[in-house]
Amino acid sequence: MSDVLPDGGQPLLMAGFIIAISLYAASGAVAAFRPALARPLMGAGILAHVVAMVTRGVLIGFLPLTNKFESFAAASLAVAIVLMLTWRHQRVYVMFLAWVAVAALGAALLLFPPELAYPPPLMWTIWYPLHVPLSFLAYGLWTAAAAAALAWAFDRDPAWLARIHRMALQGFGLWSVGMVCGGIWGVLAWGAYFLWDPKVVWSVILWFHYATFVHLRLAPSTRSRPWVAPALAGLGFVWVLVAYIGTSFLFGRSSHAF
Amino acid sequence: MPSSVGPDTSNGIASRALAIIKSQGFGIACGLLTTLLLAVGSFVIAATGEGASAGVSMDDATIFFSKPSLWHAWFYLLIPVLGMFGLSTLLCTLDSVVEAWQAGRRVLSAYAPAILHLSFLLAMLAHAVGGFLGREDGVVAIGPSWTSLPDGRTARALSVTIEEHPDGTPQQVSAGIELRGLDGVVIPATVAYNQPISSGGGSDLLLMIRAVSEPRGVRLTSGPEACEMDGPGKACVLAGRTIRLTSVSSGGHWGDTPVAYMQIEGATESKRIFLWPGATHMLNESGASFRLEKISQVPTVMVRSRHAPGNPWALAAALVLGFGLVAMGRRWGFGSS
Repeated sequence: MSDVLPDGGQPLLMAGFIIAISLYAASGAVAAFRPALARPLMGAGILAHVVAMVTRGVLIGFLPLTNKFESFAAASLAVAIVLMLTWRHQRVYVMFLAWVAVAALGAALLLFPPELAYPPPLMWTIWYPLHVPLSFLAYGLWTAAAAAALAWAFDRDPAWLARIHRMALQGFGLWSVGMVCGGIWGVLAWGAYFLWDPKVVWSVILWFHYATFVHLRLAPSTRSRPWVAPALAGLGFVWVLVAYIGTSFLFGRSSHAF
Repeated sequence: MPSSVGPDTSNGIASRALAIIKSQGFGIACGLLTTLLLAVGSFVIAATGEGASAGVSMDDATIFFSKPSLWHAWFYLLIPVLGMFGLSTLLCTLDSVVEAWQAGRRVLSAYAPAILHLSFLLAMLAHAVGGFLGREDGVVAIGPSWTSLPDGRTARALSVTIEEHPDGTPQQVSAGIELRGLDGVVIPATVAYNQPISSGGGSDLLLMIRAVSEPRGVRLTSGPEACEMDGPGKACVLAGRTIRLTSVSSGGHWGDTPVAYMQIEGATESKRIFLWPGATHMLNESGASFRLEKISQVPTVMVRSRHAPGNPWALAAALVLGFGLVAMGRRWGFGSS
């Protein structure tokens, strides 16, 4: 007799996510008054989130990224981790990222069934667990770059501009490696590293956007225009939303719809 | 003098054009224009998927020219933009390498951006080669007998292996096949999901679409007598009666149990019956009967043959990119965010 996976929506498996979103929301709220106090709350939320994700991963014996619920939950975790790693006691920066983490995890909890499923054969490759987490960390870094742009708009601290450039570059590096892993997977699974598929085209768009972005500092004409980098970081965040969410809902069938 | 003004002017224009192409501003403009054109293209392809963009698939770029349309204007513009982008990247990279070398910089990280630019140029070349020279060579069903492949080789399926998750859903499906080359040499190979059979550095691929073990032949017994039919259409004589196998199937009303459909031929009339492994059929009132002992399975593998000459270039681009990313070293700024 076959062993059926437990119901992914049962309270024990959902508890970690509920605790995480509560702590992220608390962190985002507390950041308005005491940004320093928001950090341990965010850290505790990440811990609960990781436990919940790892539990699902152990149950299915694979990276828990097999459906929309897990995808949005992982995107939220990536943003939360990037926030912890790039923490600044600045309320706008912390609040923006905390609430993005809340929104992503909230979308997972409210919009998608939390069912547990084993990965289909096409996912059963090392390239998938390399491709997706790297891509999500890049999303997280670029979201943080947008948050830094917003923070700069509030306090005009030039340090934000350096951080925007650094996070854009780091995201670009991770994204490039993620694209290579995805490309290799594409060749093995479909025979091509590139497809005229909305998600793939938008991945290339993101790559070009941030490849352009990282050259901004080298252009003399942008040195007297400090607003250019924050503006492109904000635009990049919009592109991230289109690439991650838009391609799943605005376009037709995608090779990335599992 | 006019005779000397002409060449000077054209030289001036040329050097000015070269300076513009090599400027950071020009590269940034090309990059932003590329994102814009690709963004427009993604929406156009989605919106005209049933019309002008109906044949757009895989990484094929020829479709935009074999089915020209104003809807493809974004792609027609993209080609010169990428061409200028590539030229600008190449010239800037050469300049920066020469400059760094002449300045006496001998550390690898000084050349990391140039290595990354090289990978970008290789990736563009890969897209051009793959997009314009790649092709789909069709789908072939490889059975237990030798089957011709589009590239002239032949193949036959030996086995199908299905590994299952604990809940019975497939984790991996693989097929053992034999490939016979044009020189007649036979080599064993395995094809599976995420495991194509590759040749030419990845430029020629046999990709598995699905692999199944299909019920095909039957073995019947009647007391000490036995007969085998290795496929539909075959017949044998058992207990004095001619039995013809008409078809074998699994699924449908019978779930996963394979069922054999047979025809018992008589002098005046024929009788159609179906049996499953272990089932018995009475032939006549005297008590003669026969039993279906087993239904044999044969492997069948559906593969897609694809010529993708961009793949080796893309692999080269990936390797150079990886090298360049590592060469960047501390310039990434990790640990100081």
